[in-house]
Amino acid sequence: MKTLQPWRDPTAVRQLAHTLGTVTRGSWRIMEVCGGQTHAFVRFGIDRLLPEGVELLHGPGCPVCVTPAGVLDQAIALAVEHDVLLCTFGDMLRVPGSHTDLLQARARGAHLQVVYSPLDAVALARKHPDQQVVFFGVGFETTAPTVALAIEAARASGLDNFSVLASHVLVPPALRAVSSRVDAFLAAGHVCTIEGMAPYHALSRELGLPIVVTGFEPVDLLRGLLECVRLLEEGRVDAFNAYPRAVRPEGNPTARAAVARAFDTTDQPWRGMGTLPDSGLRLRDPAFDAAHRFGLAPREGRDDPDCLAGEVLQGLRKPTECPAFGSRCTPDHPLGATMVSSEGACAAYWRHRRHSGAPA
Amino acid sequence: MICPLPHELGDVVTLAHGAGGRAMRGLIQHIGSILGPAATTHDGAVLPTDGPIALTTDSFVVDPIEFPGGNIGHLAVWGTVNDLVATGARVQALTLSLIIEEGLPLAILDRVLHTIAATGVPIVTGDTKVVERGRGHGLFVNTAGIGREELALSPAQINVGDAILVSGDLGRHGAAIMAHRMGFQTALESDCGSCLPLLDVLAPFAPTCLRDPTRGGLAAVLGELAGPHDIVIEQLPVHPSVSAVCEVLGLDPIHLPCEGRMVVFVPEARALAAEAALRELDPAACRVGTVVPGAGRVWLRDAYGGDRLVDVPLGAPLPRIC
Amino acid sequence: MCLAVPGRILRITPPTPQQPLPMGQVDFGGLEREVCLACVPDATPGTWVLVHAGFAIQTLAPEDARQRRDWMGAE
Repeated sequence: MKTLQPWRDPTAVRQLAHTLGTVTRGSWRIMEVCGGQTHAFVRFGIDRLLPEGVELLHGPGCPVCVTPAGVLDQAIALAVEHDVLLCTFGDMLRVPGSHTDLLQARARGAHLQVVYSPLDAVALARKHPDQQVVFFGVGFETTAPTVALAIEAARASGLDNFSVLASHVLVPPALRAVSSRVDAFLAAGHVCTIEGMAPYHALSRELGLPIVVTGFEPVDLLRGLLECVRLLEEGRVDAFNAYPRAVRPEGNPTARAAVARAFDTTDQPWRGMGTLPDSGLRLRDPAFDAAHRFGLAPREGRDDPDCLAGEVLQGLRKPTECPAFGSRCTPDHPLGATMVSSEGACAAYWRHRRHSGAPA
Repeated sequence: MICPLPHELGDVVTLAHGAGGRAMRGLIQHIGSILGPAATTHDGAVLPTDGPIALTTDSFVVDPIEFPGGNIGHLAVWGTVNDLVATGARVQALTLSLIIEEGLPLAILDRVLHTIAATGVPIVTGDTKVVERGRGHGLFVNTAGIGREELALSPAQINVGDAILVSGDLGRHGAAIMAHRMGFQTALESDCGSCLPLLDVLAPFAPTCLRDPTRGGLAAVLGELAGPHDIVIEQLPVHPSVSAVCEVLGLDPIHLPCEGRMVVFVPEARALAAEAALRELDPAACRVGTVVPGAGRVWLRDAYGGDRLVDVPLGAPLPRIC
Repeated sequence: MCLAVPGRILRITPPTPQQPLPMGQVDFGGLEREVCLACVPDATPGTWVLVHAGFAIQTLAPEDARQRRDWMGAE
């Protein structure tokens, strides 16, 4: 896309990588917290341009990785046992629940539809008034407003056959949970498009760590890393917006207001990390809550006992230090969510490992 | 000429149309009126051959049956014709088997049949079955094709140093279908079409191997053919609209199917000339990479001097929001 | 959690009973879609927006060459 080209310019990237190399003196553990960032680092090969002193960790900022197995089980139950059309983002199709995943459920007759937008699910509900339609709402603060507004659209249209299975999570509690093991964070640009900079200034002070908000293009990522290393080298604690073209200090208040109308904050289990207080969103209106409408009890999900995804997400263990990595667990047969798709930390390492021996 | 639907056939295909009685005869006659009598009057066809013949078959399922730039009829004909091209053969004749789900509107079947007839590729025998509603995805089509071998091709002939070319830009079919499915509007159409002209264009350059990048895209083809060497992809021709679809939906053009493109392996010495010849047919044709020493891996060279491993995904590409 | 791309609003459709949120047709460069504009109430035809999951989540200034030069120049 023409609009993205300046942010991918090879000269700019080489310059930034070189500067990063000269500025880095110490040894720093920097955690990026968004699956989109992980994907971008790997896709553009930026992680291989980093100097020795920068260790990049892939954090828990990916709905694929942190949606609890029990919630996946509820989604699968809705699709298989109840007569609903389950609409979902494509990301969730291969994530393993306790026993199976949505893709395999579809093979066994589950009525599933991959959608690009929650509004597509509302449109399906409008089009098929005799069909119960459930949207599987996952994601962070970037996506919550879209689900909130989809519910408002359904309510305004008087739809009685639309509901949401909601499993939204919030970034700051996750950063708190892992902060003792990192030196700094790269925060997710599009989350901050909604939230603004204020929560990250406060968090930076609270945790005593630099937090730099980055975009997702090569120039954005390197610019963010450069700013982050500068703060670390200078011993400064601050939150810095390295993505000003998309992040305003005030964020998007209209979007946040929509979320506040639709959701309350709640304690939320994170896959592999336990329950974090006030880290999730719960639907306020039971009329649009699929768990309520279909009488779904919360399910205790079962993770494979050999899966160490939780430790990986918290920066406690590198994927390559997991005994199952590359043997019992590969992208073709993942034990846990972090090996599914390109966003997962383990999947990203899998790629690197097979990299040794790249052609000259 | 569009042959009108006889009134007595009704509006939709029913199980009666597949049951062997008069309704079925009526449907078969109608199909024969569109495709030519050879397609439906005998149990088989007898054809002259001289020299080695290539035989290939493929089955086609697509949703939607009619998509921007074509329908399953185009895929069914060109898919098998192109598979024959990939074996170095020029199609002589096709068989056509239809498995139709009851309830398929006959108007759709007709458009598919007229598409097949309009390709001009001889359909010399065929079969028609009707299945119960809910089992047929609308329409399954199988074509088998024979052709006379003109080029001696084989993956075993691929050597280190060979150049890899493509006959046009990548991913149009997959991007057009995915965009349509996800509610986007675009002028982008499927690239489904015949690769037959490539047999003549490439003959002077003695390519070692050809393959059409359908399901799984370029990544799947190169993944299959790389071993025992490695392949490095140096550039990818991608139309801006295909790029836009990929950026918005989180897809990679290297995984998207094409239905009217050929990947060409040719020794380095003849690569420039072969590329120029391909460009005469399609200005987007270009060299994409090189065969290098290795162990069956495929690398994509990025703009920053590094190589990234190209995976072949387990299943179909899925749009993402993350 | 973050796939969002820039696009330009071609035209705006006000809310209707069938579609109660404000919507706009957005051009991504040879690819268009109807996108919800409820989060960007100040957007007008011609505005560039950042689009995630079928919603515009922010308006964008037209590509600012000076801003990009600043980023590069400081190093």
